[in-house]
Amino acid sequence: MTALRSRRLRVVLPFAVVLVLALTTWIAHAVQQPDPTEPSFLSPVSDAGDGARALADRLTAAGVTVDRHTSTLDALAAANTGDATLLVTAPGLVHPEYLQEITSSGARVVLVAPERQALSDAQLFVPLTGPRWTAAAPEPGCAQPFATAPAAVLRWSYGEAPDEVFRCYGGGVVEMVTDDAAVTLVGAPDPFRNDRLDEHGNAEFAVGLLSRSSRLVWLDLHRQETPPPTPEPTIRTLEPEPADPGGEEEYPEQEQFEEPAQPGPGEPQDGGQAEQTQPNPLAEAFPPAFWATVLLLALAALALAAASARRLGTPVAEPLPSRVRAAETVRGLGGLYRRSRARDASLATVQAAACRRLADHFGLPPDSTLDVVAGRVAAETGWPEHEIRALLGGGVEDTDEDLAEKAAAVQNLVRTVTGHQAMIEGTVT
Amino acid sequence: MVTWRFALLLAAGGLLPALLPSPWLMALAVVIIAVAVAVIDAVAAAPLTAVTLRRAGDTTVWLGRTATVTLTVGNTSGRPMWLSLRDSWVPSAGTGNAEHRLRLPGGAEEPVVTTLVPTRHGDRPAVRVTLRSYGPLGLAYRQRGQAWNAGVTPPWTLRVLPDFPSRRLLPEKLARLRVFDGAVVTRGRGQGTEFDALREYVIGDDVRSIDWRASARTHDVVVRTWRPERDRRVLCLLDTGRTSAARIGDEPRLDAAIDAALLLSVLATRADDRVDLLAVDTAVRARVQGGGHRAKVSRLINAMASLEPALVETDFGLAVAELMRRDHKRALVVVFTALDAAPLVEGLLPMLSRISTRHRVVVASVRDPETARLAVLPEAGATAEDVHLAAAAELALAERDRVQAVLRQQGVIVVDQTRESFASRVADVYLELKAAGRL
Repeated sequence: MTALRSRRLRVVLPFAVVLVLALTTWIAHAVQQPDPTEPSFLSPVSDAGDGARALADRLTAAGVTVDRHTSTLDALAAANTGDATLLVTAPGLVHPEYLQEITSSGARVVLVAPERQALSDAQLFVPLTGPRWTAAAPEPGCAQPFATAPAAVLRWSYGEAPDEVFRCYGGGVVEMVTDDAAVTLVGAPDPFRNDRLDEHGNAEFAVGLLSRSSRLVWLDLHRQETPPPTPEPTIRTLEPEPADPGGEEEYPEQEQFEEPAQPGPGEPQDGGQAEQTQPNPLAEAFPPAFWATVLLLALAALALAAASARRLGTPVAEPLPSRVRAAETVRGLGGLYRRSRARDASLATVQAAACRRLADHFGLPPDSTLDVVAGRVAAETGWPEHEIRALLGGGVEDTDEDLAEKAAAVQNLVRTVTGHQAMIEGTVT
Repeated sequence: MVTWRFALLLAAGGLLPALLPSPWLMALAVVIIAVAVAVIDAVAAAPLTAVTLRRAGDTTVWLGRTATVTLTVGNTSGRPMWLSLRDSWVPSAGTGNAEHRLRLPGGAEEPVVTTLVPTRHGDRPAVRVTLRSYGPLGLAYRQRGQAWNAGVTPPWTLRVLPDFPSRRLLPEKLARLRVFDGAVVTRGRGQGTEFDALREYVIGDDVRSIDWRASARTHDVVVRTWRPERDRRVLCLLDTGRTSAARIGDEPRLDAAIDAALLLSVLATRADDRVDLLAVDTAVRARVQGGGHRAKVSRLINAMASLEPALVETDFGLAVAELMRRDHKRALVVVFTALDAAPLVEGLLPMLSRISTRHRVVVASVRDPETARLAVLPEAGATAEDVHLAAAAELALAERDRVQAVLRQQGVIVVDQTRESFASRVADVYLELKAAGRL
């Protein structure tokens, strides 16, 4: 039992060590990742490691007015007046509708590490690869004024964009023009952080990038934004008009959005929403009660399998006795004769045995020659002697049929002369 | 661990989400409640450590008979116990009813009877009693690992004595023995060469047996009586090597040898001879010698019960060395082996001269009827394959005849019989030798 346990331990232990190491690394990495929902994340008023107070101070020192807003609507309103840069630190938290609004505003927009969903929400069709495990700091590789030294911007890498203006840091920084705005994508939040501002050329890059306009509108957003109020309640008349003070945007009628929190199966689907996540039609086809029952039945089946799997004691093994028959060697030898087509040898053996039996039957000495035996048989039975001699001493043609025929004839002769019983009994004891 | 009832409970709970609002919460509640009830049930089950096991019953049984072994299960805990157990034996023990279910109130004991019909002779051990204690609801149970169950199992070994079908020949052989002995009144004096006693002449006695010298000393006519020799030695030498493993009909050659050796032993013991046993392959597997007359047969049977054919070449040198180490008195040595040329010519023949000068040797072998059958072609419709087989069989038969001839030349008595008459023939050889006073 201990041997079994130690063997199991030997198998399990290396895997367990590797698993623990991998799990620890993964958890540590996940903990180290900056979280946009933290209040300090890239906030111009935060001194924490992932805050951006240092950057805001340097921008102020460089003569840029930093204008902090915590709501997208306010930030949009501020950015639309005069020469301003709109810095969106967490594009993933901005409501999709606002994102589109941002990229079609007249301002210069900087999006920090937008992911696939945010890009498609913003109607920016840019392929992207990543994320890398950590942000890399490649050489600038372009001639923009802010790109003077390597900066830690390459965590997400952005591909070829339509209407691209420039591309720096191996795809880490890409600028493009949309309808009205110039949108800059930065692949990592690292250059803006307090604790990383002084690494590489992060400070030069960040200050240079954000001081291209005299005013910086800083969207400091830390939780998922509420959806904008629907301006035309033509279909959903039951919904009350929210009393939001900034709810007087004019939206085109075809851009109504479903509330993601309430995907009712019976509600009509609006067209023109390719980017919106479509609910699974199979899941929609049945009520949740059905799925809950299915889950419980599946669990019941699992429990039944587990109940049947445990045996009341394992089967007992014991060594088996030999099953070899005593005549196995005889059969094996016969098989060898057949395979080597030893027809002559087989027939000669059968004939010799017949001679021996006949000699024994007539009381002749056991070493009597064929002639003596044949003569005696001929004398006793009256058959022609040459035929008996041919039968007991003749060869065989090279066919199986001839062999079978001749051997049967030999044994039939013995049977006729001595009687059947002697053959069955075998040789005399 | 859970039972099928737990699965049934979950399946029954599957209806609830369909009937009540918030289905996912309902499903979660059903799972939690079912698991909680199962856990409580498992905790409420009586502990396995409170089970006591005790065995009693048969320790020996003849092959083909039914043995019963009683396992007494006790519950020392205060709670009632729903117990399910499997009494596992080795497969050849032929356990008829291994699984038992019983309900034991606290402090109670209950016997469980396992019937065994063994399929082979030898020692058949009980391997393991696996215990499973159910909770009062039957939703969950407690069961522990194989090693723990093996630890609590009370050991028991059933010795299965070999099949002895030639037992039925015993009365006939004993009757013949009594005839030699003079115990049955036949013609005149009992046969034999050993002087028994002097008694008064009665009319009808053979006048040739009158002892004139003794008659002169007394005033009556006195006759001598004779009886067969007693206290002769018989040694059964069983070859348990590879040739004894080959099957003849449905049983190994060794079983036939054991049957014949048993008949011979019983007969010789009744005739007041000393029977010893030696079973040899590459080592001595069994040795019975010395001891009192009465207990001898049961000792021999016990020793033969544990014999198994081993797939090794028999070392006859070892057997002969064992023979030579014994006392130097003349004995009848019956070698139970196979008349296969290779093992006998290389193993036994070189040793034979050493023992046949001192002892009377009998080589006994069961004949395989299949070889003789293969040697005969069917009267019509024989194929070439049949002829090849017949040739191979003829070769084997000729070889056997040669071995027999060589053995006889050395003064050995050879017994080569089919299974049916084998034991009887071996016994007859003994009786003939005894009658002739050549033991």
